[in-house]
Amino acid sequence: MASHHDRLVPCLILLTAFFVVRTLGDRARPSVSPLDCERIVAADMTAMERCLTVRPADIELMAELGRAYERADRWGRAESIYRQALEVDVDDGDMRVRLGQLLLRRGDAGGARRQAEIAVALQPGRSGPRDLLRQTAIGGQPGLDR
Amino acid sequence: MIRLFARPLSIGIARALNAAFFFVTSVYCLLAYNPFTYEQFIQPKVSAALTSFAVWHGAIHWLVLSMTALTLAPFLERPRAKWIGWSYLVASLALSAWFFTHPLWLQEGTSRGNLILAVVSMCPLLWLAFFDHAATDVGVESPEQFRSVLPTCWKTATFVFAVYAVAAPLRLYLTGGIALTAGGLGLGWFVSALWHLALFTTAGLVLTIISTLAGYARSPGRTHYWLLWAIATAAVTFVLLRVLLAPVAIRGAAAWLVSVAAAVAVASAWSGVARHAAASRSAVLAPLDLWLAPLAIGTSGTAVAIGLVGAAVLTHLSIARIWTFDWEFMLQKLVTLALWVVAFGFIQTLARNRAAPRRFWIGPALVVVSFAAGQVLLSRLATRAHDGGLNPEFAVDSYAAVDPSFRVARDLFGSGTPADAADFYGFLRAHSTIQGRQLEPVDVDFVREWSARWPTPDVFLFIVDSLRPDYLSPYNKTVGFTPAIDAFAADSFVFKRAFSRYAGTGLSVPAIWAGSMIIHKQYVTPFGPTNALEKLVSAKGYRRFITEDHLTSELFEASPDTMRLDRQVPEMLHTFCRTTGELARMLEERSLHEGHGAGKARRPIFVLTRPLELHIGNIASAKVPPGESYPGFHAPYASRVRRIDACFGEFLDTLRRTKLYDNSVIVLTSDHGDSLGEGQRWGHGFTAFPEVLRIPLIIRAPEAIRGRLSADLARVSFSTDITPTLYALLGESPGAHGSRGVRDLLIGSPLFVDPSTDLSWRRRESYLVASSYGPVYGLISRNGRHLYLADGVESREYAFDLSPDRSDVRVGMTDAEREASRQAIRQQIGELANWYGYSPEP
Repeated sequence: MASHHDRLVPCLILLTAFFVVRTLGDRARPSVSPLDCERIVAADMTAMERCLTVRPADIELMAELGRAYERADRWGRAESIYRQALEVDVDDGDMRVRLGQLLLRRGDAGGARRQAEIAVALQPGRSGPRDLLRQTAIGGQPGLDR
Repeated sequence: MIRLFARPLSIGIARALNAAFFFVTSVYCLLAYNPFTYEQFIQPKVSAALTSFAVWHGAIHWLVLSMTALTLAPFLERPRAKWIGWSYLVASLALSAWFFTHPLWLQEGTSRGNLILAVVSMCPLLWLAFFDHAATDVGVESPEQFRSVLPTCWKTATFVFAVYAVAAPLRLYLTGGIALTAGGLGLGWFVSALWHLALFTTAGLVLTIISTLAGYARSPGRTHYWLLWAIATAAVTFVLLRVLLAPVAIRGAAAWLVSVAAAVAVASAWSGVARHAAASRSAVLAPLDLWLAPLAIGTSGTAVAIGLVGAAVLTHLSIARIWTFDWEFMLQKLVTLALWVVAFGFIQTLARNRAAPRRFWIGPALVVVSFAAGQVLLSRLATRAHDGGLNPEFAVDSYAAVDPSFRVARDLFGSGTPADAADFYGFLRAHSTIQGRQLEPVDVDFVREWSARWPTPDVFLFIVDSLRPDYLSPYNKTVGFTPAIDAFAADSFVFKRAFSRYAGTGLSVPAIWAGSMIIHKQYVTPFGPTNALEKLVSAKGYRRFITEDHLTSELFEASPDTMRLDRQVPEMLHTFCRTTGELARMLEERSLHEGHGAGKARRPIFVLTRPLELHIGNIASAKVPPGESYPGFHAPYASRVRRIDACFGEFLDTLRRTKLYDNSVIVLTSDHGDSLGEGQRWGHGFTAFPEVLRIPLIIRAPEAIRGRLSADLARVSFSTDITPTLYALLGESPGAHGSRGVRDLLIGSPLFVDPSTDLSWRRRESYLVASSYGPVYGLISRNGRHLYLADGVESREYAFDLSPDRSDVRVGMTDAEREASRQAIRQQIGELANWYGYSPEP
């Protein structure tokens, strides 16, 4: 009997230890970032900029940030953020229209036209690219999208 | 001659064939009993091998019975075995006659009789096991000293780890799409070695406990032996439930009933063969050695080494043969488990009869300490490693794709799901593969009143099962074998980011017809109120040409003058060329009778077909014609795509010849994609990985309509958009279904709209996708650039970057992103359940 207990007890202890280690190991997953960018408020430019460092490919966030820059008359920053977005997704027709409108406002009709032509191919029949293309031809100012 | 059939090898082979016959019979009956598997596997006859087995069932039983009878004959004279043996033969003859008069393949699907047959099929194995025990007289040794089995366990762990670790780099090289760096491979080896050692040490401790408990009994040897039987039964039950039945969504009482019956029968049958093997050696063996007697290939190291090498080679050959059509890695897992058992048995024959040291527990304790240290190291690595390839979560997961043994160890013996996730996965399972509940169909109506802004065009809707966009040149410039589709695309609208809402035909096709996600049940009938496509076709007075398959027969209402395509052709043999050839003949004949061209009134044509030559069930056995090569592509699949392209071009020529082309809406799409080796995945089982969700969507509209509508080709689109898009192209004005709420995320939207309609909202939303066959759900977001997957089968989550130049790389998630994704999935599944008035039983 003594020898049976000498075997049984260590085995049970070791089995328990194995399952405890396995369970605790799964729970030791580190949290990556405390910044909650899922609930960001669109008007908060600083928060959006911080979130962009954590989510550098979030085009929708870039679009919101670009709008915020435009509202604050920070045209250079807005153009930079739109171009950054297009590096992530070259086929984003809405972003091309937005960039084209900004370029037209800043006097770059040629650049605006190039964006409009690409957008027309991506969004056949859509009024946004069509109107921008027309505006680049007549050199008009686009309506501000606030 | 009779002595030949008394040998353990002959008996073992006969018992194995007998067990395989009744096991497959049980599996077939269980699949037929379960409504989901009956619809998806049995009715469409997906597996040719299983179908052939069912058709030839009676003849195969007769063959198996003959072989079994030969191995019974040498022992029928023995008093204890005589009556058992003769009664078995008589009953089997009666059973054979019953099989011939009640063919398996004609059994009524989903009836309780199939479940009973699935359980009762295990009785012959048990009966034979009784015979084998009665026919043999074998003594069991009760050892006086304790002999530890742990050294055998460690040697087995080392061998099995090495067999698969050595092959991992080769599998990595042969497989595409697994992002595993050299560092990641090393990390995978380390974790795999640790896991194998820990797992087999656990098994050794369990065996030690059993032998210790047996020591308390009056007959320690006999008790030990039957405790081994009990452990084997429990292990087989566990494997059947987790590896065989869970992947085909068979759970609950029926799964347990069949698993326990099969496990008892298999363990008993094994015990019977073991006793024959021991009897032939005329030795009194220790309990474990008796149990492993069928695997005793000799006591010399050379014999064992040859056996181990042979087992390793056979394992790799088997895996190479089965990996292209292996539902949820099921067969690979079973082959791996077989290697574990065989290797353990071979190595145990070399165990010396030495008493274990008093402090035998030091070795296992060191293993547990090493395992704990490994867990700490991995958690530190996750935060400190600058190399993304060394992120343990990704590296270990990627390594598991090329090491089936590690995958088995991780999947079978992974720790329980953390409490916060358990509730989420339970929610997914409760809302999936709904059975046994009567639900009312929902109405899906895209218009309140029919109008027609322009004349009704003809509609050709080609849903090519399992067609992937990256095998078509409009989506992949490196494709050179689809010139006809390329030319067609130049005259059409190519939607670049199209996804199926469901990763399998079962729900994907009905959802296409509905223009909406549908509840996870196959099916809520009558389907008419939900079938928005059928409503459109009826309202416009179309003459229908529809392929006859199990879905159209059950869910698409037939009008009296529907022309059925592919009549009398088995569903899995529906091909694009055959169907379009038949259709072309019908159209040319029709054009002679009804006239064509402008000014001549005729009913518009609606064509609906779903060819299956690209389905994984057909691709697995497809050959590449001589002279064709497709570097960078899966050649059998590419070859069939080439053929489809040629027939597609010919069919378009027919449309031009019959003056139907110009006024036709032609849609070329698929119900889902497929895995063709990405991450060692093949087919589209439970998975909803990117390559399964992506579909081509090319839509040609008549010239007269194009000028009136607009589209955004790079905006994310879904299979559920096809029907509302047809509404728009046919002159209707499909509006938003109800208010802009969660339900609108479930329902499709037209892809062609008035030029000034705002389309930007879809870019910001997340859209639910799902497996058709299990609790695997996902969210497609960021305009089709991001996929989050929650796998309720394996309790695992993934995230993928779907951006065009990122090759669907797996990416990390913050806890906030994970939580937001889970909430969105819950919300949309909950809304779907509300819509159908479904709530899970508590």
